Amino acid sequence: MRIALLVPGLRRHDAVSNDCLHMAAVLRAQGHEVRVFTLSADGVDEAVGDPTELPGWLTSPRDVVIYHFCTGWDLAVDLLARVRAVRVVRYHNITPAGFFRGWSRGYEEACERGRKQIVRLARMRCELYLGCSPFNLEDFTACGVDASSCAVLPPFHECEALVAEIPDTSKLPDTGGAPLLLMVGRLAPNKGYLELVDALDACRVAVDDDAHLLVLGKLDPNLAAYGEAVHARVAELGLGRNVTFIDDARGPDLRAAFDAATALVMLSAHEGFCVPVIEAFALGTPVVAYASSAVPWTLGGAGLLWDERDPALIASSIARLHRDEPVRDALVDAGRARYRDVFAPDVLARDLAVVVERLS
Amino acid sequence: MNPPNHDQSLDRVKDEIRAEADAIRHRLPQRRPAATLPPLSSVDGGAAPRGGDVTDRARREYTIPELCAAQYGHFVETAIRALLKRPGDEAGRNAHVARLIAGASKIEILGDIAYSREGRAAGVNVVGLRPRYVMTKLWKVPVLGYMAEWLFRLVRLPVLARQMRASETYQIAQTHLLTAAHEELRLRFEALAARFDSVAVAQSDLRSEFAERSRDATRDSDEMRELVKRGSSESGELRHLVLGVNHWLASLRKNLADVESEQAEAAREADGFVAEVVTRALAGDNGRELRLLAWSSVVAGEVPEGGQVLDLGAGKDWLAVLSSRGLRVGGVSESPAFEALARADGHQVATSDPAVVLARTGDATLHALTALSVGPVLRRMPVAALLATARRVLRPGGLVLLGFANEAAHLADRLAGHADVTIDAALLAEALAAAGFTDVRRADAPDGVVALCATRP
Repeated sequence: MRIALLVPGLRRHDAVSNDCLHMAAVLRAQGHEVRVFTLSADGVDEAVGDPTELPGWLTSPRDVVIYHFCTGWDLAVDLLARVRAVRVVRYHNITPAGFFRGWSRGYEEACERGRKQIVRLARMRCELYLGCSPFNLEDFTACGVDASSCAVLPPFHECEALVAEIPDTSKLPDTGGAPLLLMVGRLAPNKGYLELVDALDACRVAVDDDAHLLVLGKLDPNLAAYGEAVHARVAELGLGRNVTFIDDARGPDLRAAFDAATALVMLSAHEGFCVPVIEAFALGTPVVAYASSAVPWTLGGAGLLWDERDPALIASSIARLHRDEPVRDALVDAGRARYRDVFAPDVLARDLAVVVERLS
Repeated sequence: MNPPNHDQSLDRVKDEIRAEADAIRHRLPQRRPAATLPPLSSVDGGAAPRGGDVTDRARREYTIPELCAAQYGHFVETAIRALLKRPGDEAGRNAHVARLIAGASKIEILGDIAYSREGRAAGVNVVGLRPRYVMTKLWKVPVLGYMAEWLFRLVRLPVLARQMRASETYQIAQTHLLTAAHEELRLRFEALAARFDSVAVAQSDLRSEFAERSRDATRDSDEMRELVKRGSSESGELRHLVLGVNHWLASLRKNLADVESEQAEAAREADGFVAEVVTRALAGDNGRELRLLAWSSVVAGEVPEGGQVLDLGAGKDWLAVLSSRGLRVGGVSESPAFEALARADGHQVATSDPAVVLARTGDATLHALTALSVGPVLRRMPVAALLATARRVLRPGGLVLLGFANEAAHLADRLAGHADVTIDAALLAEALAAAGFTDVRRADAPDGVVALCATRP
C-alpha cells in the first residue's frame, strides 16, 4: 500500500514535524511505501516531494493520504478534495483566534483561516479523522462528523532521544535548593505565562524567597506585545532575579532542566495534546497543570491537575512536591507508567498499525 | 502513596494541598491582577479615551462621561471591556456600532450592555446610568413615549439650540481645516507630477544606456562562448582523470571492507574462545553455587518481589539464581558470546560498556545493583563515578552489592591480558560511606570470598 503524508512544512524539533517523520519511519518499517509531500523541509533527513506531485504518485484508490492539519492551507484542502484515495485528516489542533485578539492581528487571521478549514474538511466526509487527543476530535464532531469516523492516536515524539541526552546544566539558574518551576513552550497568549508569573510570586512569598521560574521557549516577533506584557508583569512583581528565559534550548539543556525542576507547571489554556507533559513523564519530573483543553487526557491522573489557575493553589502544590518525597515519587512513578502504557514509541507504532489495518 | 490506591491517595493529597492553599492565600499581599487582556489601543487603532485606564479588571464603578469620552467603535469596545471585563467580539461590536450609526444614543448602548444577563453577572455599576437608561426606554413606548420625548426635548430646546450653534461653529472650523488640507494636498500632487516628469526623463536616459550595455554584453558573451569551447576539451581530460581516481577509491574501499570483515571475524573467534575458557573455569569452581545462593539471599532479603535488579558482568548463572527468587533481572556484558548464552536461557542482557548502560538508566529505577567482580567495572569507570551513578539509578532504600569474586567478566579480563584493579574491601567500604551510602557491611560468601553491600538513603 502507498501512503502519502502531506504536511505544510518540516523543521527540526517541531512537534508536528516529529509526528510526521516518525510516522513515516514506522509505516515504512511496517512494510508500506511511504512518501512525504511538503512545501519546505529544513534540517530534516527525509527526501520529500512537492505537494502538487501527490495525485500522480498515488496508483490505487486503496492508497492512503494522511494530511497533518495544523494550520490553514488551501492547497492541501484542494488536493484532498480531488485525490482518489483513502483520506485521513491527522488533526494537531488550531488555537482559537480569540486568544490572539489584540495581541497579533496576523496570528488572529491565520487561526481564523485555519479554524474555517475545519468546517471544509468535516464536510468532505474523509474516511478517518485522526486526533492527537479526544479533545481535538470535538472540533470535528461539532461539525457533524460521526464518531465512528474518528480515532485517537497520540503524536510520535522525541522523548527517547531526550532521555539519552547528557544533561548540560550550564544555562540553568542556581536556586540553592529552592523550588524550581519549569515551563516549556513558546511565549504565546494561550500558554498562560502571566498566570505562571503570578504563581511564582505566590511561591516566593509563601514557600521560598529564592523560588525560581525557568522558561524554555521562543518568542515570535509577531507576539512581541505579549512578551513585553510578561516581562512587565515580572518587573511589576519584582521577580527579575527569580525568572530565567532560555530561548535557544537544545536537547542537553532541556534534559538538565527537567532533571532539576521541582515540577513542570503547565497553566496553558489551550493545548491540542501538550508534548512537554509526556517529556516530563519520560524524564521523571512531576507535573502541576491547569485542567484545560487536552491536558487532563494527556495527564491521565498522573499529576496534580487543578480546575483553576489560583496562584495560592499552584504555590501550595509546589511546596508539597518540594518537601514530600513520597508524593513526588508516586507522581513520577505514575507518570512513567502512563508513558510506558500509552505514549511509548512501540505502543504508538502498534496503535498506528491498528489504524492502518482499519483503513485497508 | 500505594500504587493500587493511587487515585484515592491523590485525592487525599489534593485535599491537603487545597487546605494549605487556603492558609497561604491569607499571607499573600493584595496584587493588582495581571493584564490578561491586550492593551486597548491595539484593538481598533483609535485614540484611548481620557480619564485613565477604564478597562482595569479590578474596577467595579464608572461614571457616564468617562465611558462616553470615546467615539464610534472605540466607545463600544471601551464599554464592553469596562462593563463585561472582556474584549468585544466582532459580531457584538459591529451590532452596537450599527445602532450608533442608526441614531441610538450612547446611554442606550451602555444600558443594554450593563443590564444584559452578562452585564448583571459582571456586576459593574455606572453612576447615574439607570434613570437615564429607563428614560430612553420609556421613549420607545408607542404614542406616549413619543409625546414624552417630545415634551422633554421641548423643555431642553434652549440647551439644544445652544449646542446646535456650537456644533455649527465647530463644523465651519472643520470645513476651513479641510479646505486648507485639500489645498496642501493639491500642492503636493503638483510637486509629485513634476518629479514624475523628471523620472520619465531619467528612464529614457537609462533605456539608451541599457541598449549600449546590451551591445557590450553580446560582444562579451561571444568571447565567453569561445572560452567555454576551449574549456570543454580540457574538462574532458579532467573527467577521465576523475573517473580513474574514482575507480581507485572504489578498490580501496573494497580492500578496507575486507580487512574490517577479517578483523570482525577474528574478534568473534577470540570472544568465543574466551567464553569457552571462562565457562570451563566457572564449572570447575566448586564453591560458586553456594556463593551465588548466599549472595542471592542477601539481595532477595532487601528487594521486594518483582523488584528490578541490574547486574554488571556476572554471567547467566547469577541472573538465573536471582530470577528464581522472583526478581526482574537485567545484565550487562561486554562479550557478545556471553550475551548469546544468557539470552538462550531467557535472560535480558545488553552487550555494552557498563558505564554506557548506567548512563542510560533512568533515575531511581532500580531496586538493586550488583557487580560480583567489581574489578572489571572499576577498570572502565572510576569508583567515584560508579558510586555516584549507583546512587542516581537506585531507588531510596535500594541495595548495592559489590564482590571480589572470579566471575565471568573478571576471568575474561584476565584472559585478555588486563591487569587487576587493586582495590581492597576496606578501601571500597570507605568509598561507599563517602559516597553517601548507609549501612555499609560485609557480605562475604561461605567460602570466604569478600563482598560488600550498602543501602542508598
